Amino acid sequence: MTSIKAIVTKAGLDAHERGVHVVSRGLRDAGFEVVLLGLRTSPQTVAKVAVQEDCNVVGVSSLAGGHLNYAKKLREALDAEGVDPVVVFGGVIPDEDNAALQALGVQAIFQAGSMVTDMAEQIRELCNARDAGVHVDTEGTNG
Amino acid sequence: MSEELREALERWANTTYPKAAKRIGAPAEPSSPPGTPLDLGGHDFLRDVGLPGEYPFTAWNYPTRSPFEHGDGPSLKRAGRYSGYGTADDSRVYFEDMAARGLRLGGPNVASDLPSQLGWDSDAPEAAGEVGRVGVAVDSLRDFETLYAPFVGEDNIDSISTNWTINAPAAIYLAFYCALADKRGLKRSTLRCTPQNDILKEFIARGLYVFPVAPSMRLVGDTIEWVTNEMPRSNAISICAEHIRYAGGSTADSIAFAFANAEAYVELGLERGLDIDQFVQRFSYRGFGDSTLDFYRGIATPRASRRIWARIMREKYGAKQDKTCLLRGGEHAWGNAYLRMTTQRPVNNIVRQTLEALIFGLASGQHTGSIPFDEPLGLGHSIEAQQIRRDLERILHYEARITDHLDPFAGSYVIERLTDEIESEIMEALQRVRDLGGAGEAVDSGYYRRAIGDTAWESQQRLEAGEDVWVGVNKFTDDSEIDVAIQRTSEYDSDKLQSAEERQVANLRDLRREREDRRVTESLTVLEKAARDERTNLMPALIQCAHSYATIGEMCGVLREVFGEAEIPQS
Repeated sequence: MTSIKAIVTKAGLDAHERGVHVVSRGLRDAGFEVVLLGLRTSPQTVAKVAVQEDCNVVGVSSLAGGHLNYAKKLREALDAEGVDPVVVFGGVIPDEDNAALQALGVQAIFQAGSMVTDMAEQIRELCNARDAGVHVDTEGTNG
Repeated sequence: MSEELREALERWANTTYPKAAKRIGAPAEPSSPPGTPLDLGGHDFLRDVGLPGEYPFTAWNYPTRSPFEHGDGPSLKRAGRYSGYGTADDSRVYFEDMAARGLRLGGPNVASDLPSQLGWDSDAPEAAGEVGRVGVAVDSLRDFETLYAPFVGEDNIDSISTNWTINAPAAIYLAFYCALADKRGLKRSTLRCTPQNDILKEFIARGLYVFPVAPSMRLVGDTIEWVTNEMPRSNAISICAEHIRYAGGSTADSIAFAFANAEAYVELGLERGLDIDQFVQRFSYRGFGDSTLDFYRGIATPRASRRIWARIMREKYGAKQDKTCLLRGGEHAWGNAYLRMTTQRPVNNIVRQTLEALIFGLASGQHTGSIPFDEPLGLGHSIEAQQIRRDLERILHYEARITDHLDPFAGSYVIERLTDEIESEIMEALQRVRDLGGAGEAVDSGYYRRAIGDTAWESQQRLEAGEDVWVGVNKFTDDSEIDVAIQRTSEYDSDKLQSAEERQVANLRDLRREREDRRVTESLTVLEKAARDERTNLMPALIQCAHSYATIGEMCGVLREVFGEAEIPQS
């Protein structure tokens, strides 16, 4: 895969934007095409944009405890639109919730303090594997 | 003397330092020149530093430190640690439990959930999944009645101080509190509360805005006027720099933007014909420090901030009373560890919070104040982290005796030079905003957001390149490092957290059934009429709505209808 198209968005009403801004810039630097969505974008809208933009990956930032609920809604919305991009989460995500997120198809969880260059590399691998129809184990996520 | 000193410095830089550096393999240039009286330049101690409690308050706002309360935690006279979760009743039980454990939290410093902060009821579709999560859900006066139920008798709300982290609907929280006082037969003038109410900062850093800038500022103006005239012991607003820092602003920008915002709020009061020496004294300020663990800048920055604000108030606005010139309020260097707390080897955060507490104690006359070490591990602080925090304050006070002196670095060549330098950086950044036309323009034009985004990215690049070392994050991360574990017991009941939304929604449905619909409709009509007339202060109408048990969503619904909603920037 040459250029990866990523949607970067916030989970629910959470408004801590520093992460999405920094990650968007970093991913662009790493050659990604990035669509950064504004605050309070619903999962349904994210899924619609994923279809319109034919994106490879959706990155969700959550720092306010809404990650599980949002992951569930996002999964439903993506299923409803019939798309299955790579989904990754970042922010403040307690380790105890990793398994539940993985069960909802979240393939990587990036904790605060993650380097964007590492994130870009890992996301690129996940997208390439998805493209090739290979399932990549989430072991080694930056937890 | 200065000629002689200059020569000595030159000799030191050209001979003494390089010779020693070469011998032990130190860098060829010193990291900074040694502090000397030359650093003070044209410094005049009384004019530029002054004594504690005297203009320009560089040393400290008051002649004394606030008394150390034997480390039992803050008294109820001061708003305490930020807390609250679940339904109003869950938070009520939490306040009671903490008191029973001997953990004095101070007056309630209420964390609200995101739907409440955005003016949505708990049963609104927008609120689904977020009710009671990052704070307590507040839908109506009934929730305030529940939340403050433990505060009766000698701790009644005319005796305690309380804070709410609430901005867009700040006027509504104020109305709930006034209505609560009315119902308890207390005079509103006896209340001591602080709504955050700093809406400009929401637009640029914290993201929880509802209405466009102009009507948002009208709401702030109405609350300033109301507090000044009706609630002289309350603070109208808590103007915040640290949130701008957390969003990615540099130290100078975050403080300068907060001062530019503060000037916009001062203008609001002046436009309404209020007396500067009255209404500005009800402003409070928070987080005007460096907000990093940089120790020396951490101490110098609040000193610079206090001096800048004092001079702005006196020289630009002609404030007559010294009290008007105070950068008053808490948390002058609070949150310095916040941006450095890690999920990696989190016990290291105890060291970071200790540094934060030291900076805090040395840069202000307040006591320590540090963030529990498990802040980044998830939401809520463990009982163990709270114990460590309490002991940390006690150790600094009783064993390290850091509270023996106020402004102990006054006159230090290095600290005074840094204070002057930081002052100039902040003033330059402030002047850029003034030149644009002030805070409103800086929000509308996107200047604030661009500046914050740029500095956030620069700081990330320094981390990625390893120029900025973060222990356990971008360096010292290999397998030879050991992670240390501490047992953690949650302060919140997680089962309650899971079921909070369902219970809060059920409570709200009961309320809608039980209240008198006619009174609700009437009060909302009064509110709409008031909102349509810019000259009418909205507070009386909001208080009437509160008494009728109209909900925050219903009140904000009316205001959304009249004011419209803020546009959310895409990308």
